[in-house]
Amino acid sequence: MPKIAIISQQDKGVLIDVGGCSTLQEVTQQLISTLQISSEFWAGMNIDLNLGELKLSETEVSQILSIAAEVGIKPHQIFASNAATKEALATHKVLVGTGRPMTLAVGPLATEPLEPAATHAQPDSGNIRDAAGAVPAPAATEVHTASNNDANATCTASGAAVEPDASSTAPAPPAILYLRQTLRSGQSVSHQGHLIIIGDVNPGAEVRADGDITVWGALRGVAHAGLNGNTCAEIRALRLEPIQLRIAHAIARSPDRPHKTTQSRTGPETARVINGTIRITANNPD
Amino acid sequence: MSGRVIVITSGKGGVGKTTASANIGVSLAQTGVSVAMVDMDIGLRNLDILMGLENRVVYNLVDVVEERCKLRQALVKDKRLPNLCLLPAAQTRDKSAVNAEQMKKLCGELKALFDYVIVDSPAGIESGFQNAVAGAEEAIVITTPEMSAVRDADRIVGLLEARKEEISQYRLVLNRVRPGMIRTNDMMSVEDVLEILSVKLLGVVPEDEQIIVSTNKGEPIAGTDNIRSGLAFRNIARRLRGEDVPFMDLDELNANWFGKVVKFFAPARV
Repeated sequence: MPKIAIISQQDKGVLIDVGGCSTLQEVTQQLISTLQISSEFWAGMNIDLNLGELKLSETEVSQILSIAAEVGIKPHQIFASNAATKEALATHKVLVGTGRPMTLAVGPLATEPLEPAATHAQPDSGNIRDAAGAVPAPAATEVHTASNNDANATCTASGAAVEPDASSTAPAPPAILYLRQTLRSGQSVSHQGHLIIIGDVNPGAEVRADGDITVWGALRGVAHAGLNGNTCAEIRALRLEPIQLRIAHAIARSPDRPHKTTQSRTGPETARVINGTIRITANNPD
Repeated sequence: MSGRVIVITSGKGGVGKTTASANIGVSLAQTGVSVAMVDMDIGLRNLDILMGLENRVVYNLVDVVEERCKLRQALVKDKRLPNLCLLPAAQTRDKSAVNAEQMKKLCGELKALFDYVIVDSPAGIESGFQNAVAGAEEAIVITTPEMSAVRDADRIVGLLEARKEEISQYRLVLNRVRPGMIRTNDMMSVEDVLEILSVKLLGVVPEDEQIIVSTNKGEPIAGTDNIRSGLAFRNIARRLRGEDVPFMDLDELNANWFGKVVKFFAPARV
């Protein structure tokens, strides 16, 4: 479990989960680094906080609240499973969350492990450009039934409504998480809809989304789109130089020795699954 | 099959633990035995970069420990040597993601599959180090000929001695030695370091610019012939396997023809 996770709750705003931290110091550190970097992003947003099993005193709770207040955030409700923490929260007149908070989506990689023979120990010829090393994607019907948050809808109707449509009885279109931040090594973002990052994704960072991943910057880390098995998901970036790309069950890795042509190629590119393997095409304005 | 679990540790950072792990792993595999390298530096993983395997990592050590995948699935096979595997660390997690018990279990599973298990320990003496040594039976302490590194190595040796029941032997590798500076008395000699630490010497590795090149390329230097530092690591591997390999004459290393003439007339000077 990562120390801090930003989870979209569809139309109910965003949940910041710090349940992965074990000390107050860690919590404050994580909050400061996450909240302050993108303070303008959080402003005016409905934000919930999940403290997990952390045991916090009254003063410790107020410390956390003051960090949030510094960047103009007042958590709508706070989840906690520890009794002492709940009491401390109550004294601060904070709405204590009831029910189970959302948790990070566990991708299909975790539930349906890939065969190592297919992903590892490949000959050197495999690389992103020729997209060797892809694992057969599951049948399309499986994707449809397995997902209630059907990011697949975008496959045919791309650019569908951004706002979740509450009146519709059909499953809501995936929410979009918009992050104005550079993700550095060790940081990861996971989201149950489309993910847009204004900034770079550095090597060692991971971005995962059920839907598409768009990076307005350089994508140099690992990106996994179509976490729920959606093979229609796409990954696009202004500079697509990832260590590894995953879309649904397909995996492609960067070439072991960068080709000269690869280095000289600039401009936005899109990766998508074609015939079970990941292909990259340039987005030429034409 | 029951292999040997060897932890590579130093206390101080930047003395070459990961470089040594990669090169000893490659050197051992070159001798024909099966080798698994385990990166225990969770949160600051580097071994996959040095091995040039970064783009092949799908699962990692924490995934194995938390049973999200099978051990077999997380092992990344080396590009060149089929009998060499890497178990990468997780990058988006930290040292608290595993505990000593889990490491013991993992090392037990690995040594049933491989002849040698090389564990790359993180810097420091905290939980990361404790977890790295938890499953090990032998240790290699890396240090450089600097007071600070030797002091930290001494601390590590003390901690290893306290684990006598588990760690049966520990030996020293002196890294980044510059014979020229030793000659001019600007650097501690091998003997100076051994006198302080009084640990059995496993190898001496000369300072080498080529290491930087090999790190960036993701091709450990031990895989290249005719490079002195690579030879030093290959010798270390042979000594680990029980061969009696003489230590190389570092003096010959940087000596130009003039130095060789001087040495010819005064061989006992250093």
